[in-house]
Amino acid sequence: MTPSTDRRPLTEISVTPPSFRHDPNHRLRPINWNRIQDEKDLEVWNRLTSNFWLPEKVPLSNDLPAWQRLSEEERTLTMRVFTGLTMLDTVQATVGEISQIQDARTEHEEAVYTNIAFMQSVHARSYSSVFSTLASTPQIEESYRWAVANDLLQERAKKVLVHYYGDDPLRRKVASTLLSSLLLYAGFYLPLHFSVHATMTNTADMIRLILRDKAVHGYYSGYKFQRGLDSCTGDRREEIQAFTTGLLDDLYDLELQYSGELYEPLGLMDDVAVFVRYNANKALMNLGYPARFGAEETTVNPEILAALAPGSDENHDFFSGSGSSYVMGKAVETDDDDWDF
Amino acid sequence: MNDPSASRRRPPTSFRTLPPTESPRLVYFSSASENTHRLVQRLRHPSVRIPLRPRTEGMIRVSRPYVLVVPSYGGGDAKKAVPRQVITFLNDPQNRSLIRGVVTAGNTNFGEDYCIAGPVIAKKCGVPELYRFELLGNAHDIKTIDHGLDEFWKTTQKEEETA
Repeated sequence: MTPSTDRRPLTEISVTPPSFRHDPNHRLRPINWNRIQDEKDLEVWNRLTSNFWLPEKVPLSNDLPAWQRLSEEERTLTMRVFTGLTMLDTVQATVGEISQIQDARTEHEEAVYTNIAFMQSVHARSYSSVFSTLASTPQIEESYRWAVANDLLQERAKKVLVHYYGDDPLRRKVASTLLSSLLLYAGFYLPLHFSVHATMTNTADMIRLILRDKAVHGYYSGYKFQRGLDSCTGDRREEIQAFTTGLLDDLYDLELQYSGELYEPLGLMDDVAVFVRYNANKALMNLGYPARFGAEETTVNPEILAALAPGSDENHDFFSGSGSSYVMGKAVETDDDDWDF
Repeated sequence: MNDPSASRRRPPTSFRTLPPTESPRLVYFSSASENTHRLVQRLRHPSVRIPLRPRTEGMIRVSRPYVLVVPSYGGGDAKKAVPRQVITFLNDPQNRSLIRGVVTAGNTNFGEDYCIAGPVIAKKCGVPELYRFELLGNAHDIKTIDHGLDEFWKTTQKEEETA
């Protein structure tokens, strides 16, 4: 063995393993976390790992009495909503995130998708934890049979899968961001709604952990999408924006039909639709696009918003004059060594 | 970065003082995602950006009272919610003495930690938390912040003159 005499940068003389499929003759390079190309990769990796959690840590069984008090209709709705969420997280974990590895701009981005994919599998598994804690085997079986037979649920998943298996890296990112920020939220609405009524609160706590992860996933994919757009021509940018608008409209229509069947019997669909539009706008923001829906159609029920983020109320809006006094900040630990005062 | 004593060993950051004529009433930080940058660009009020890489680009020192707009990094350790560049900026006594309020960007998905950088800075600097918005902000946020800043400076100026 002789040490290499080639002093050109490693990124010039070698590729990362996913490039093997394009040219098996290239030299392969191991990931080097001590040579960061995009600081966002390390920042997001650290945030993801510090957010890591497992459903086993959530005391779901404390929700058993609340589950027994739900109506038969509410229990069936919960099973179906969570089975639908499991479908989407399965798509993301096994295809959506993995499909973005081949388009990564840095070797660290490749690693970040493996982390996100694993976390999506944790999310998918967490709904199974809810089922095994609260429901019987026949009930679980029945819910999965419902999911496989439901045409709208199938169409929602396949509508994004076709882009994951397509050949356009930017469309993959758009599809992934829209799935994570548009299709999931009608499902998240239900546990938040329960939590407003002080029921199934441990399940809601688990959903809040999932929501926290989804925000980082959407942010990262959207950020990398925009880095991809940076090098595009004006025509290509227009094409991608038109694609985004079209896919968003298609998924939104499907979502109203799919969630309508689930939520209308309980009279919740109007509220759910607002929540879906609010999150669709956030998906677009992550991609760097302006909002699709106006303020009047995205004003989320304040109780749901408070169940999501207690600090989102008007007490933090000094400018609008609705808060009577300044919010001087609640006690937050800041004994961080970085601060000099 | 993981070593808590690392900040003590860093070479001192060089500061560039903005004269009063070039020191806007709005100071903001935005990471490479440019989210906060986009919101600030849509405001009527002139602004200055806190450098992304203070150790190579240097840090700014402002000369007039200002409102700070800052993104909150959600999830994980709440102590890391304030971007480190903003901490470097505020560690400077002059910068710290001129802050009058804080506006924070965040994401409600972070639950209890939504916009948590706002109260952290408000408490440490003894200034009010003025407003919160999500991601890039929407048309309503732009209008509210623009108008809110107009009113805020009218009141604050009066108070500072009579003080």
